[in-house]
Amino acid sequence: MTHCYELIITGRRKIKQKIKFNNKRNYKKLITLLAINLVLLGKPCFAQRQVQDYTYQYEKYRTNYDEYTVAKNEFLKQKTLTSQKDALDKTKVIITQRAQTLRVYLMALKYSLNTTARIANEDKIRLSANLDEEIGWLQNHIDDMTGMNNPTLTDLFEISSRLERKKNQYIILSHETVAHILIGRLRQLNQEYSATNSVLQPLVDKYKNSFIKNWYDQSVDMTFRCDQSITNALAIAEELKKANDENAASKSLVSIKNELGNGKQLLKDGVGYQQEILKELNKILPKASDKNASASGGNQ
Amino acid sequence: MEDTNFNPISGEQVPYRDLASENQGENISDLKTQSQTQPNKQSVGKPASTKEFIIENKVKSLKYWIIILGGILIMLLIALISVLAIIYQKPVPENIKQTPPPTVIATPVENENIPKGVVDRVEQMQDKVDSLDIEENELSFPNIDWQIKY
Repeated sequence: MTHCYELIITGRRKIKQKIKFNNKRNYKKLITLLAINLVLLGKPCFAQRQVQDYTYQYEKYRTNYDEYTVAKNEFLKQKTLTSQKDALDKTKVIITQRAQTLRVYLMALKYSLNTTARIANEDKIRLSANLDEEIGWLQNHIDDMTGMNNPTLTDLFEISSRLERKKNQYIILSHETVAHILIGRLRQLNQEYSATNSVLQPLVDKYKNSFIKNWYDQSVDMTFRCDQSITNALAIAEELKKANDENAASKSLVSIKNELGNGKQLLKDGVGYQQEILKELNKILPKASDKNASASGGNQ
Repeated sequence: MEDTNFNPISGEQVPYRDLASENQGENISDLKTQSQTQPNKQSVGKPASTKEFIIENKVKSLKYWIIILGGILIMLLIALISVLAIIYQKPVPENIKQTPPPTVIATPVENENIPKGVVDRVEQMQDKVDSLDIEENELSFPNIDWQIKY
């Protein structure tokens, strides 16, 4: 009887241990799954956070700017000590916030540049280094501003002018980065499009239908034409790199966007041709669903 | 008493009847009718002239010819239709594939369909092209004041 009792107890212990072991394994599985999710979803989430951060800082800058304008006008009108102090505080805040907005903007640009595929490595490295340098400079600028004790308006204007002198440099850098990001995106899409053509090619070759072949030739032609648009955009990006002022840089960016817009339209047309190929193939070949239906019908 | 049991077709002699005297006392309109019909009865009873006979024969023969020609025409038509039917039923040359009769159920050949992956890929391409942002408005340069001074 006692032997039986012992056996029951040891059995229960074993079961408990097994449950514990299984729980441990489940936890491990859960942690592994969470880690995978973090890796997979982390990237787009982080990119979105960068943009959100920039949007937030930009919004904050606008609010601060309104307050700064009111304080400035009040001081210019009243010329009192109170209004001067208020104007000074608001000016300090706006200069700091402007730098912060620019810093976060350049950080978002850098992240976007590094996560976009099909950008020439040398361009990526060069632009990333430039952005890093400016991000660092802006951080120092913010530190200088916050570290100032009882600054005068003249001190603030002097520090502000340091950043203002970099205006063209920042605009050109940002336009160039945006241009390369957009070129990379279109290049990536063109590559995917070309790969889809390669997938369609065996089907086109197999069923020597002149109509399908014609659509395919048109579809392939779109890849080359889109590539030409990308080449043109890259040539304009080279000009943008050498631009001296804001206007020239902005003009170049508009031209690049136009070229890329043409490229996008070409790919859109190309996808239309690919769909026509599928439509024609559908007329020739039975669909997988039909095949299954006929098979099930045959079985019946 | 009049003998009413005579048969004019049999050729028996018809007994003479004086119709004029019998009709005496009847009204004038009846007489008039009789007098108008009399000459016609006489003309029918007369034998046809040779000219009329010839014309009648020609009309008859023409009718026959029309009937014969019509018959021939119908026969020709039937022959033509049957020849055409035979031509269409002739076996198709070897180099031209004959479409199977509708009673035969067409079965798809193994692996002879568009892979689903290809269809999906083209659909995905369309979505990707449509969603391609070439403006990048989210990362447009901030519109900030570059001259903080008063």
